[in-house]
Amino acid sequence: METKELFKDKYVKSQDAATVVYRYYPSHEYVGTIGQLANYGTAEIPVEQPQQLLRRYDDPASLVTIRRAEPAAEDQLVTYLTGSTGVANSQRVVEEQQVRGYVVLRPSGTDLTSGSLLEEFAGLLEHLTQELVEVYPGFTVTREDYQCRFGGVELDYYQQRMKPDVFRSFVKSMGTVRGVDGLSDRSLGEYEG
Amino acid sequence: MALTYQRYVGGESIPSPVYIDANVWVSHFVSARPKHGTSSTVLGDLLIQCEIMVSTVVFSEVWWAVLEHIYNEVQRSQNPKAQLVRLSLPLLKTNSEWLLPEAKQKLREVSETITSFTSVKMVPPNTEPMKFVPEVMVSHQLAPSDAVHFSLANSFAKSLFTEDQKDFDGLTDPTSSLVVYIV
Repeated sequence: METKELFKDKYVKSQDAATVVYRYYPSHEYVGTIGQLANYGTAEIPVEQPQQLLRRYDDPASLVTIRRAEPAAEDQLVTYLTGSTGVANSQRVVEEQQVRGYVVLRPSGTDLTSGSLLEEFAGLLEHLTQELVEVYPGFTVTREDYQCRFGGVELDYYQQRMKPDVFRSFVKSMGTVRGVDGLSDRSLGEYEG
Repeated sequence: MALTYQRYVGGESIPSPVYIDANVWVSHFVSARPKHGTSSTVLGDLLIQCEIMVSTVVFSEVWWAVLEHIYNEVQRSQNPKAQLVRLSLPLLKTNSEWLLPEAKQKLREVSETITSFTSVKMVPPNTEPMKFVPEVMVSHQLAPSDAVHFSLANSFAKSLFTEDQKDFDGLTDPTSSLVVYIV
């Protein structure tokens, strides 16, 4: 499995566990690194993309995952699935800590309890979750992302006229690459430019 | 009926099937592009009412564009004043060790998205553009990829959607009934 090649030993397992949680509870789940907290701004990382994660953050040992401490109905499913993998709990590759209403999953052996980083991360999460916009049930983005990706597009119009699966694909793919402004179309051809 | 150009106006009935040029797809996926909202709206309209044709050339161009945007985005994230650069083949090879793993998931996502739409169809697999594209290049003075787009659209669609009229500027063909919509 590709993930195992990238995240060896305990990091494979903690990453797998985080993935399960993320997929089933996307609106309140964030993954980031400790060092990232210093910058305080780009905490959301799609954990389905371990290659990117490893690329951007060269120390996977600093990876932490946070979710709400007060579980909703979906959380029960998450807890069950996470436990059923036998990864997070039985092997003790991640440890839990509750901070300001959030459960923090962190790699064992990392010291997150000293200093204020963990508090800051929880605070960041609180901020982000308050700013979330539900595009359709089960799919939420930050308000900034909503404006960037869907601003000016009448999603309601399409939701009423498209089959649900088409609408979901249409919306989830819209603006999924942030990109840069100013690249001309001539660059699209392999041998042009 | 000769080849005609129209600026797309929302809500109108579009002759189906429709061939969508890569730039419309790219703007749908890339939020920083100036026509992101417009092209996404057009794509939404077409998904509702039309059969949509795509080709491997469309996929190739979309992949190149996504790679190029991600390359520049990463460069800008490291240096906000970094100049935008065109991703040439040599540049891709030089940076392939980090860029391809970085972009792999997005490349997969855009591909899966396009093919997931039930109204999207690939041009027939037995199509042999090499037999007619060179002639189209010569007769219409088109670049190779644009000639492929035009030929396939002309053969398998009734409408062609593109963001940029200049790709097909000056094109006249009294034998074609294709309607080119400018987004």
